[in-house]
Amino acid sequence: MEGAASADAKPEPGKIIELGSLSKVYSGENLETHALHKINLKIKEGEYVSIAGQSGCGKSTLLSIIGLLDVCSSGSYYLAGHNASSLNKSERARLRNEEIGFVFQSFNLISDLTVYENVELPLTYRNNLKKSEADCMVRASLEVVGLSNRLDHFPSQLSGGQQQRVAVARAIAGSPSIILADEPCGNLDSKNAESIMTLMESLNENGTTICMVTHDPESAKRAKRYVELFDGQIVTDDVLRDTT
Amino acid sequence: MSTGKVFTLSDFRYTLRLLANRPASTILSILVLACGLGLSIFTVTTATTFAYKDIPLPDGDSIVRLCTGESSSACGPFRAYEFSQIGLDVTSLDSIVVSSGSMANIESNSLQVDLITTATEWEMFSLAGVNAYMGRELREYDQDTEAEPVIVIGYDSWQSIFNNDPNILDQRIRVNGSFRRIVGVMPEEYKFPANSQAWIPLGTAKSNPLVNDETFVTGYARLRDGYTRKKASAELDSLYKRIRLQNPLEPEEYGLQNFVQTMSANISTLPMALIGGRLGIMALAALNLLSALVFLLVSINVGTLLLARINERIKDIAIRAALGGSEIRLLIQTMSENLFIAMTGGLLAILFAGFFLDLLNLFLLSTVAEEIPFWADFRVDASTLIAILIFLVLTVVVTCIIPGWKVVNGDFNSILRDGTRGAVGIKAGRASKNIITLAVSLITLLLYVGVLSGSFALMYKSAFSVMGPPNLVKTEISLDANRYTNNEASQKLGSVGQQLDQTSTFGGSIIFGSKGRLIINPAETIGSGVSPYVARVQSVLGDLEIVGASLLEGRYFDTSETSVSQSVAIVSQSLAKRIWPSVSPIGKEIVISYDPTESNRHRVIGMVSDTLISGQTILSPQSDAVYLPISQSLHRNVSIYAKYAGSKNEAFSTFREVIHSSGIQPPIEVSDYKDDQEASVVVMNSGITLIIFCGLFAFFVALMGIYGLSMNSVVMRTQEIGTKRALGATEGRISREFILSGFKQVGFGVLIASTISLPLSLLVFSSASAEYLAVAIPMITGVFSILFGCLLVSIYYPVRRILQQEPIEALRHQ
Ligand SMILES: Nc1ncnc2c1ncn2[C@@H]1O[C@H](COP(=O)(O)OP(=O)(O)OP(=O)(O)O)[C@@H](O)[C@H]1O
Ligand SMILES: [Mg+2]
Repeated sequence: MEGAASADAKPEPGKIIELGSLSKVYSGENLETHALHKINLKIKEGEYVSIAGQSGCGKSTLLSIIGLLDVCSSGSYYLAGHNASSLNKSERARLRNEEIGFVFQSFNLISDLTVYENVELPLTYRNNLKKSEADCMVRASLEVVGLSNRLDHFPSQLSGGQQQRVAVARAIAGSPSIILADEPCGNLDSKNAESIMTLMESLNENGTTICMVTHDPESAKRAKRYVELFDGQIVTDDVLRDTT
Repeated sequence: MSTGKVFTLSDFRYTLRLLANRPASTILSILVLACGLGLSIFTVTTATTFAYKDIPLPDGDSIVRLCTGESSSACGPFRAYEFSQIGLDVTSLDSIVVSSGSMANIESNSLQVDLITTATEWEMFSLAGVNAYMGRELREYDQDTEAEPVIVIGYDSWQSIFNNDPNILDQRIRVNGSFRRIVGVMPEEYKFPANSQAWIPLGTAKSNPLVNDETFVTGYARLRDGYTRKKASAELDSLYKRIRLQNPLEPEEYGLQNFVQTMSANISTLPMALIGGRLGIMALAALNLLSALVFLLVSINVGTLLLARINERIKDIAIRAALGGSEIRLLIQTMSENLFIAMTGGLLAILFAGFFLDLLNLFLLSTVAEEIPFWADFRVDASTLIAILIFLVLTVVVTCIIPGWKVVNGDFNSILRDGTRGAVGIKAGRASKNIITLAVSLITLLLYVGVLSGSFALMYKSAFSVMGPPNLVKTEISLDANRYTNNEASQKLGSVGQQLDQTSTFGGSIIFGSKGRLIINPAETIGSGVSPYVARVQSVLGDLEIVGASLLEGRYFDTSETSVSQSVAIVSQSLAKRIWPSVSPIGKEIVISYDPTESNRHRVIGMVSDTLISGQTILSPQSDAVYLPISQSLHRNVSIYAKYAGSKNEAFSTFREVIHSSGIQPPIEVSDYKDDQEASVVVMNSGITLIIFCGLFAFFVALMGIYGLSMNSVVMRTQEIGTKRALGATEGRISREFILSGFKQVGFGVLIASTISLPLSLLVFSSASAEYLAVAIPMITGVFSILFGCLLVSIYYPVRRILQQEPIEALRHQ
């Protein structure tokens, strides 16, 4: 893994995410969709970026490439100094597990696992984590999202908003250095949404890098940096508050 | 959504898209159905054709076979002599006839064919109640010793050999080398009694035998009105016992009234006579059981495959219900996919079964035409078709309408909530797991039963292998006492043997006259109360070596043995070793209990190795034998064997010529010894092969079913795999997890199955022979290793395929 960074010798120090002229093309049988087109984006450690744009402009695609769930068609991507294209599958799996917390637009909870087990899931993939430590982490993160009283429920027994909060708890349980959240407040009332936003901010204050897709202009404004996509390209990239 | 219409074009397109979306699962479902149902149809049709079809003769059900032996054992033939005596006294049966069937070589205008030719009493035709299509049937006067030799041919032979020649009557053809006049052609369907293609009069040696020797006939009769088979059986049995008592023959019968009481005769329907015996009934039962097992397997497999499909669509149906789809329409939409699979599979199944039944017909006709029943025509009949249709409709009802109905009328809202956006619903997930466990336990159970019974079939297969020397041409002839004096007969046989030996085609010949199993006493123990020995006694003339009885000690017979010289004998090794374990048999004297008028003290001059040849059947090999020179112990019904080296056809025709030129009444049958033996076991053999083949096929269907189910269940969890990978699970971890959970599920199924089958296992393994276990244990190990291997692949392969994609693709999977 050490070799990965030296391959292209591009990454700038301090930049945790670095996309260089990155494109993503979906090619079906007879139609090609250019979901992302020549994206250049550098995100520093500890940044809080909100990503906006109309539906279908490529936000989720961008997030899944950053989260190592998908690969780009062309261009380069460095994650914490590692060249994503030269990582093998188990290295990618380890990075996803330890560095990244993902909140999906469709929550992707596993229906025959309880709330507790769902949140615990990423921790079970870690090698040197004691059961008792994991237990603390699971309880703590469920506490944060206010679901400590629902440990033994199955996802189908929860409301949409509650399911979404379980998804957030699962993303933060392993204290990743980056959180990628795809509309984490999409289903929530303003009070719950507010608490998730506060949670994000406090995580960010503790040094976690956050990329959050949101349609809500209010929420978008609370980030330190605002990126807007249009038809797969970055049309706005504003720094709202200086972080350094 | 136009609620008025029940099924629209767009519904149809939707159905096709669903089918095309998962081609592997669609094809697998159709294949399992087609193969499995096809196999069921095949086995059921085979079994019913053999056993339960109507006899295609006027009032065919009242035609019966007369059998010796218990009604539970194979239908045995009668000694011609005894049978001729029975016929006089029976009141419950009409027109008893005797027949013996075999292949005969027919020669006409340079054309040579073998036809199944039945030598029969003339009453056969009136018994069957069928008249000739052209010309006449056989008549009483055809049976006179001096009558002109005639033949009646079947419709098919008339067509194929004589091209429908309208002037066929009165033509003369060579039958086994001698001329016969064609006097009639029978109608197309008439093949009674043994798939016969031609009929000739039964020789007097069989229809009117003077001596009670080992000449056998098959008896048929028609039940008189008002008599049941049971009543007729009882009458026949008591007559038979009386006659056995009057003609004690087998050594065990001497003075043993009780023993004769155990000899029995019975009346059997034609199918039961054919299937007959414990083995036959077991084979039929096995075939029936197999059909049932296969059918169950198919139902389970298809049912679960289709249920799994519906399960995946439950949410889809719920959404449609929520959107206000009408009940009927939803149900039809639900059904259409499975209906398509069921109908396509069913259609293919019928085609498959038809194809293989045709093959079976061809195979049987080309190998054992004389052994298959004349009523057998293996084809799918109307009642089977109706049964298939009912089965398919039931399948669709159980796998589509019931689950669909529950969704439409039930709480589809809960199903929608259960969806958890991007995850398989918990109920659907659990249901699919339960289905797999259920299917696995049922399939395991069925396979287990199948393997246990299949092992029996395999074990018996080895029992039916044919032994004995090859390249022996063989015929049976009889020397009529009205025609030949003892002296003439023995000279005749001598000259036949000489002629055969002088023909370059043959490397030696031998003539056997079987006297049956008789009591043998070593002269020195007579009167000492030592229990006697039993051996098969044969009069022989010629070269014992060619039937595999090689000289071990002493000498063979030679010209010094005459009717006036001292009586001698040759004994087989196994007998000699039993009587004189430690000393040489040469020079000893034995006493044979048979016809008291002949000398019964014989000096042993030679010992030969054991051989199976000498009229014994392979099924009851008996190698204890005593050979006597024909010059000292004449026999009038003999078998003649000659060893050949070159082509079989040439050997056959030369053999026929030699026998014919000697002026002996032409033999009916010339055959190859080994072919004969093989033919005698071929029905059993092909039956067992069929059962084994069907078993293998059933196993294959079971594997396909398990594969399909297990693969489906993995595919259903695609999103779960995606989620877990997004959370950082490695590929190895996911593969292991899936395989483990698959095996847990299967293990549970197997556990259930083994618990249920425990009594059966205990029963089988506590009473099984070592021989059986030697077959069964490797079979069980093999079958279940393959099953587990299949499972492993069925989980690993789809997981692998999902893992090869990027995680996001699995997450997007619908
Ligand atoms: N697997 C795929 N195959 C083909 N096209 C795809 C695929 N995934 C996404 N797209 C296309 O890529 C484009 C971007 O999709 P993406 O999901 O990133 O949009 P988005 O910005 O997240 O939209 P929303 O706000 O509605 O979630 C869309 O036009 C979509 O149709
Ligand atoms: Mg999106």
